[in-house]
Amino acid sequence: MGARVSAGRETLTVFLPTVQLERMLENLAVRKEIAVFFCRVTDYRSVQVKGEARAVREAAASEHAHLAAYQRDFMDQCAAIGMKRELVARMSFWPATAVELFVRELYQQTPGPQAGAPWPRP
Amino acid sequence: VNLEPLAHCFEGGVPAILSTATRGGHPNLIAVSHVHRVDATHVGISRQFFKKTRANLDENPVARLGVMDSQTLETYRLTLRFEREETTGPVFDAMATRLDAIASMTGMRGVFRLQAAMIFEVCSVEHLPALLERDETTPPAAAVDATAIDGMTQLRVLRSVSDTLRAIGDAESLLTATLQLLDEGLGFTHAMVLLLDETHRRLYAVASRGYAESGVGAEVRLGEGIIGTVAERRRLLRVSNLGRAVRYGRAVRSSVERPASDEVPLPGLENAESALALPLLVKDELLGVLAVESTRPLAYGERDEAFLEVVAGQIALGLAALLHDETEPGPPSSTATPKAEPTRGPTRRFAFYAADDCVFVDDQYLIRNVPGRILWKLLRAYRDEGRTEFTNRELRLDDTLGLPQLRDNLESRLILLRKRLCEKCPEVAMVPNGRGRFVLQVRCELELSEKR
Repeated sequence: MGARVSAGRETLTVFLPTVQLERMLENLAVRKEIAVFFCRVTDYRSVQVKGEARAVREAAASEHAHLAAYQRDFMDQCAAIGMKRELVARMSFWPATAVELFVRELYQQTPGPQAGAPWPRP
Repeated sequence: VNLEPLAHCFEGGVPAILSTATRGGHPNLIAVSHVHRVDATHVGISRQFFKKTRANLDENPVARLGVMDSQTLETYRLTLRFEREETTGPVFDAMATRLDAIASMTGMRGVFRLQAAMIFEVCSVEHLPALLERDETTPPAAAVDATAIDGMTQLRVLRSVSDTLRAIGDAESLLTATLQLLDEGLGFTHAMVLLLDETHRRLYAVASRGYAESGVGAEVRLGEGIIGTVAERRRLLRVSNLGRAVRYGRAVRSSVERPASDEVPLPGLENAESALALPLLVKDELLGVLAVESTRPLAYGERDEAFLEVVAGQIALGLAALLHDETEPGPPSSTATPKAEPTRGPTRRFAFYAADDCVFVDDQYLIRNVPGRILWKLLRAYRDEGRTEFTNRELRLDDTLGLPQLRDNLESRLILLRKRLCEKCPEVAMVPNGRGRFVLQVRCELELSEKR
């Protein structure tokens, strides 16, 4: 629940709830390739990031505030589509695992004919 | 494998994520618009834009699907094995009907359509550890679901519908009574019945319950929205999270370069989240559509679907018998025969626009097409000859009204006309007066004008 782009914009750190990661961590031990899907639930605007997992670690206590802010924004989005705010507020993403990935590919993934096309370069 | 607890995940507000990989293990993820439960061990996923996913499945048929129940936030991971694509058949039709309806609601008809139904075997279902912190104050969702209707209640209502069909002799009362039973007995608070018009290209609402305005006379073109799509495809459609479905359609629209048509306002609740619409069929003949809706997401399940299918079948049979009753008119009912009433009260100005086949009353639209021509005939006969009593038979024999030779549905046109008059000009009423007869009651001064 949450992500952070590195200063050089080449590395992305994604934060995931540790409690659900057993299989993913097993897979990452075998292959470093990873795909991450981001979708804004209010309008389905989506992007897929593919890359190589360079490091997997426990999220640091100092990163908790960043995740909490992310969760608040997510809660607003969920409320906007009619989900119960009090229910989403009970979602716990802590303890979290941070996966740092080196970004190799970026794709548009918003549903439509352009889904799957490379993200246009700025 | 037990897919039963996942019904809400497939229909709910959170998009499902499908992951596939090349033979070499290069992963790919997509959001799925709808997961369709095919049977106890298979699901169907709609393919519209999935080039990479489809290519991956050819190399490596194993896929994973992550789903979340938007009511409980329980998450599941399904391991799937791709079996085949279908481009015809009942599963494809059911999925295409849903997609067509959403596409038409978002102005994307013809652009956003089902390419194929991808059928997967579900190999396993993992219930992932909960992300929710425990809340001791809230009992489990099932325990607080006060809206659940038990089977015995459904059977009782079904029996009442049957009794009503046997006892009632006219289509209007049948529809009114049935919608009342569905509301009071089972909580289908917002419901409407629309019938196919003589052009077979439009439906018009003849009965409704639960809406601030009755909506009688509202029209829906075939293929337009949920109701029009159900009529066109002659298949029932249940949508449990309209908001999500429409958001998905709009997302597609935003990514299409060519302009799409406008979104079409349709009759019904503005903020409906659940809808269930069923075709009224007798053999292969489409009579109309029964539609219920709710502002609650996931308001209707498979049980409601099955139950309303039976009710829709009964309504269709009842309507067919009553609407197509072309027997000779019976004797006038003595109790309903009106005394000639003196006209008094305000003057109502009726105008007939021949070019559009429309009747306006005091500059407000009243009705058009066949019912409009019928009304105009009645009003002129009243003004010119002082007539108040009419028979369905004489209307059928009048070529100028443009009724089809066979299956003219005159009765349904009269229902619509009666209701529109009741809403827009209650001083003029068509009161049934025995089988195949009615009386025109006029409690105002009439001013008629014809415009080209």
